[in-house]
Amino acid sequence: MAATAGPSTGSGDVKAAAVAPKVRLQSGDKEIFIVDLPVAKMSKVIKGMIEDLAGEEDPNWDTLEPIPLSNVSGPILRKVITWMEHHYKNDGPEPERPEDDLSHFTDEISDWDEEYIKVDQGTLFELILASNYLNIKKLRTVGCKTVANVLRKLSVEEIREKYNIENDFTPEEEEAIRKENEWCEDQDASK
Amino acid sequence: MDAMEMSLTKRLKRSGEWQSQEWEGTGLDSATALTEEKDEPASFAFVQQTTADDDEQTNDEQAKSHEVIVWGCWTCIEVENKEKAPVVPEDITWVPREDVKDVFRYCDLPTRCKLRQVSKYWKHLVSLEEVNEVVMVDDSCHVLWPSLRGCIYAETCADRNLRATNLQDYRRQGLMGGHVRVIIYRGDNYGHDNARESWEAAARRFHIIGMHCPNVRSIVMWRWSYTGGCHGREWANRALWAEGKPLTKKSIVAPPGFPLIESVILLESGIAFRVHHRLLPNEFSPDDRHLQFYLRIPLLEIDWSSGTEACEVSLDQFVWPYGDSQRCWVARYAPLLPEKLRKFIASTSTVKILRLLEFECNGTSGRLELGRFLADLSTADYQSMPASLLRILAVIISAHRNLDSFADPPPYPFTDNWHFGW
Repeated sequence: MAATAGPSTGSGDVKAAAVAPKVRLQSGDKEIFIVDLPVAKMSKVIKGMIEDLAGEEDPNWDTLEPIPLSNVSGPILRKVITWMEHHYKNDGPEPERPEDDLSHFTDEISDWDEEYIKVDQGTLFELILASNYLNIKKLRTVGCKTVANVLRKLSVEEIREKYNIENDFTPEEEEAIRKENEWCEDQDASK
Repeated sequence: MDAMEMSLTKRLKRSGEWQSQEWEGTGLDSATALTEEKDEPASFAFVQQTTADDDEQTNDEQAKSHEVIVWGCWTCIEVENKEKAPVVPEDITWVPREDVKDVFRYCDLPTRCKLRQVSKYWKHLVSLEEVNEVVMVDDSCHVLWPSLRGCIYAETCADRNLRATNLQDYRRQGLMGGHVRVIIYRGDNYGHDNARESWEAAARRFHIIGMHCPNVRSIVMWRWSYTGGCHGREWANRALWAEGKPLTKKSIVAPPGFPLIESVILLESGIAFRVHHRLLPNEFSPDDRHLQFYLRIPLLEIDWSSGTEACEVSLDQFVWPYGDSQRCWVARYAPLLPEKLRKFIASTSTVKILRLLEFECNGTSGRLELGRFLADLSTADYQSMPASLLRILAVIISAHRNLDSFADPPPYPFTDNWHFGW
């Protein structure tokens, strides 16, 4: 099934849609997505593949084989494309940042991203993995920070319960490590 | 859409047989109309395929391939959002190690301490050096405020700052150590002019961390405000952070600081200036005893990578972050100030404030040719007027009680950065 991924075909994007060539992306479960070329290039992996496919000549994008993204399922790829389209439309292409750039630690998650990332835990982790596979740093940062914010608010017991993690410490080990970190036990309430 | 959602989510559990038939179409009216025909004793099920190019889709809808299945009978209506997504586990155990590590990188120090207690695997992961290259701390970490928040360590010695033994714990646990390259400190008083800590005091308490993280290259002061004017330009001095300074008692060895430091970054931070002085009673308010204002610093990197000891950084861009319209406003209203205030502006009181501001921002108090600008505000050259003087004039004009009689209000944002009072 070929499908576009949402906002790119909205009324506000008609001009861009009319001008930009489109590429087809194929998810791991063989779903095809038609995406504007500049939007797709927000993923450095897709960008690399496009450049490999295009070669030196300007290709006919309609006849090119879909770009296979075998590690990403259709629903997750659709969600990723939605993110790329929104940020391409509103922020433009992501600027190159130096390796030692620290802004990703201090940038706040935007309201739109906050709404976007309100998904179940499984989907959230799928998005983090997909953003890594597709090399979309900003999306990965949003995902990781969202999980980090959740971890910050939960107690140790709640973390174990939420993420299905077995407590494999012996009571003695647990007591020892709890004592080591006694000072931060009341931090959650203060934040 | 609202009508449809309301009618579809209405659950009137009575009776009815579930049947299904495919319904193609996007008309909400049809669906609504059908649901309104409650008297018809038939049962139904709709499948509405919403396509991604539907202009009226919400963000969430755009994000997913929606196959909305409307099951129901005339007395029982339900909506089921059937995702095509494969079933994924809700837990985190299937997530690859590298991704979990990346999540941990965005956790602050107290959270990392907490995560060590979850399981042996997490304890191992969160203690890895590569996870802890960037450490985020705030005032809740009593390594920074050992005298506050119920420190569990003895503080009877004068050198209590050096006895923050939990730093040794952090080091042993891998949360701190030679692998730490960046410290991000998050303050909680950004935008407030109640800062009480000087830059030097902040540097001094950070030096304690330096004993355990000697290879730090950058320190980011994020959302932090400090008191300006206490120690002049020391904030721009690499030695302050790299070598440390003796503590109050000369006999106490100063913490070594960060010998490899290359930059301190101020991010969304600010400087609170507070000058105690009896200004002009009855001109501003009866209780005026000090002038206080706040400089916002969205981003300032003090770069020592070239090895300079004292950095030539000017804060003029923050002292006067305004454009021509604000400059013209000052030029228009400064000459209209009452004679008494104009004398005050040219007096030693104003000069004191100006010197404080200039010294903090540019490292000099002699740059101002005050006489040239202040002798006659009517003929002063406002285009070449130094930022600090423009700022002071703007504050005084804005604060003047007769401002209401002026033709136009001060252009934003003059009014949110100054304060007169006790």
